Amino acid sequence: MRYLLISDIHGNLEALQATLDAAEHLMPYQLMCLGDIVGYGADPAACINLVGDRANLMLAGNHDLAVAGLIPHEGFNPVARESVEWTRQNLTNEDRELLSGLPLEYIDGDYCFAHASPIDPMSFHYVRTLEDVAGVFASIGQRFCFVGHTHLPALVAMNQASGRMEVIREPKICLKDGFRYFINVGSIGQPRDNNPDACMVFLDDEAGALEFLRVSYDITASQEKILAHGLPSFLAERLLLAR
Amino acid sequence: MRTIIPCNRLLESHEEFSQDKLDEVMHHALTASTAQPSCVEVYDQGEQRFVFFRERQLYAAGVVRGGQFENTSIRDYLLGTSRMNFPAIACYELNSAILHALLILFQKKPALRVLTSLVDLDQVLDQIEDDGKSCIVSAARDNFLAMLRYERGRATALCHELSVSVPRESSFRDEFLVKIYTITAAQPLTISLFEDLLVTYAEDARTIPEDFANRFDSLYLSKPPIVSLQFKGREVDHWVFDRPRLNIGRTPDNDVVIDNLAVSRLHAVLEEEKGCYFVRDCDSLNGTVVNGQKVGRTRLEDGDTISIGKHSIVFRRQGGRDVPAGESVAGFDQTMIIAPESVPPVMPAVPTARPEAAPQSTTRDAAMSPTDPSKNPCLVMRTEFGDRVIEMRNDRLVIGNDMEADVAIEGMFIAREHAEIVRENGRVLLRKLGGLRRVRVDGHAVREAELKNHSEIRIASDLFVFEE
Repeated sequence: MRYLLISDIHGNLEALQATLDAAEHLMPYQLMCLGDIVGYGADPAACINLVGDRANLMLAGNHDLAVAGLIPHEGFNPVARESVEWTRQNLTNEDRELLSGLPLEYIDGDYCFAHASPIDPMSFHYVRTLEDVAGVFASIGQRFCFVGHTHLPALVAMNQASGRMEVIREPKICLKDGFRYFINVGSIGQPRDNNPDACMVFLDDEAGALEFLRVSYDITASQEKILAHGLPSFLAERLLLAR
Repeated sequence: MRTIIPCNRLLESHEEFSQDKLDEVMHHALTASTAQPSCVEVYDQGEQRFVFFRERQLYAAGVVRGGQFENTSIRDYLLGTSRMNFPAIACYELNSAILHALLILFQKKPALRVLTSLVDLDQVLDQIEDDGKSCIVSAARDNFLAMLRYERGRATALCHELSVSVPRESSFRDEFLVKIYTITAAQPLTISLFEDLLVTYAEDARTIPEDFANRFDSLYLSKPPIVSLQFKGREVDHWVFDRPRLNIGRTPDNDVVIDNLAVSRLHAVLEEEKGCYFVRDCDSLNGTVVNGQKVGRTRLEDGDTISIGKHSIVFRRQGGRDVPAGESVAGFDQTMIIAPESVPPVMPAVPTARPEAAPQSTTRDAAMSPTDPSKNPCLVMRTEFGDRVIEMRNDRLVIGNDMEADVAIEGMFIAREHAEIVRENGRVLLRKLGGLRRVRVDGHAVREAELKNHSEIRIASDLFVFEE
């Protein structure tokens, strides 16, 4: 199985396009999108179209559901609320219907995919500590669990025999038998780990390799679009700050 | 990218982070701090957060992102670490000089910041030595950090460990330069020069008592309060007060909407400030009443009832404690001035083996901690954080805008030697020496005045009381 995993595109067309262009040499692969295709960025419709054309899997993130009107956005911070409202107004009914029909999680053999956490996917829990990951491993049977939502890439390996977990800080690893893996694939459109480059994960289970890849893109163009559409300037600033 | 800070030694480190583990490590660091200053670092891919301990004091905190140092409150440290992404924890033993130098990096703006490719570093150091300056020179790039400390033109080095072997007979300056030139061969470093060496403690710094066994977040963080809107004794709605303000008014754009003509469009606001909560009337027509009294702006305590028109808003805490506003931290100085004599000479970190720490000086410098009252007259500096006692050990005490002054004060038009207090013929006199700000004794501007017991001296915004 060859997977290219992307998440949290957040309407950032420049980042998405640069990612797909950079990943061309990795083909063939199954493109798996873990949600939050829209929200914050200025190209929600174009992102839905591009992902819709190419992806084998499209999950719904909390922003997608808020834009579709399926979850209230009162719990969102003011900037997120504003961008949800703007996004709603800038999508057609068809696009909103598409978002409302997206699944919350997906399982394929050894692989589990969710936007935030496979535990109670509608609650969109943040998985941030080893304790949280232990809970995830305890509740699913699959060897691999892929999530997004935090915009912070992470890789945790669990030794199945001992139950011991380890945070892996290298961007590329060889998969080992007897280990389970929890992977947060980071964000394409709004990374928050102090690295503004779009983040994706490539998995080739035959070759036994998993790798985080970073792609630089024309941030200025994305920023200009955000400002041109009157969205909060903070959304433009944070693309460069990567926070 | 992780900037490795200099330290005496690593006390402990943990890959597995949890709030309980962090609390445990912080307790260890607190205990260790009775001997030497210590710090706890929580780091993930994106940032490193530090909290510094000194003599059972939670002294200061900061965050490093991409090599950039930023000062924070201790509360920010606790909140920030709880939001990090699979972080790890490390605890270090420091010494006073390392602590001071790190606080400089977090708190001060450098007088000079250049790339090594643009400056002759030898020349910069020569100039410092010729001028007899006291300053800190830092060299940084990516994850490398080295600091060289000068005291009156003499060098004491605090260096990051590097795999370069240097003969032991070399000077601190030479070792610093060798380390830098090795690294800078690939890419230039940023050299910063810090001349302002007055550091201070965090706005929410605290001394922790010996019997403290609780969690630190119980001291600094509390659950957000609940605000309950009631009419005729029954609750109509409630909100969790977890943002900086809640607007109360008649119109629907408010957070708390009271649809009643007695209520103004924007009637009042609830505000959160550093863990304390306030209600402020917004020039409303009928006023805002708290516990039966009309108020402009007042602090809210658990159970307070705000009356607006015919409605009541009850403010309820959920546990935890307010961070007391302006709590004085007993025994603290407002600023930690490391006078050169009080710093034990620090051996540079040689990669093959960590050297023994140099013997500690046994007497404490008056600038580091308040002394007990003694036969010598004292100058008590009153600050909002507590009193600082400066003992007059010699016949002369200098007050000025100079790090080496006996009493260092800041402000515009304050001279390096602004005033002196001298003992002459059994009398104690205060004399103005320079600068433009007036010196007042007991309210009167003077050039020279005799000081009596409890005389009040004021220079710019600083107040001192003379005690015989």
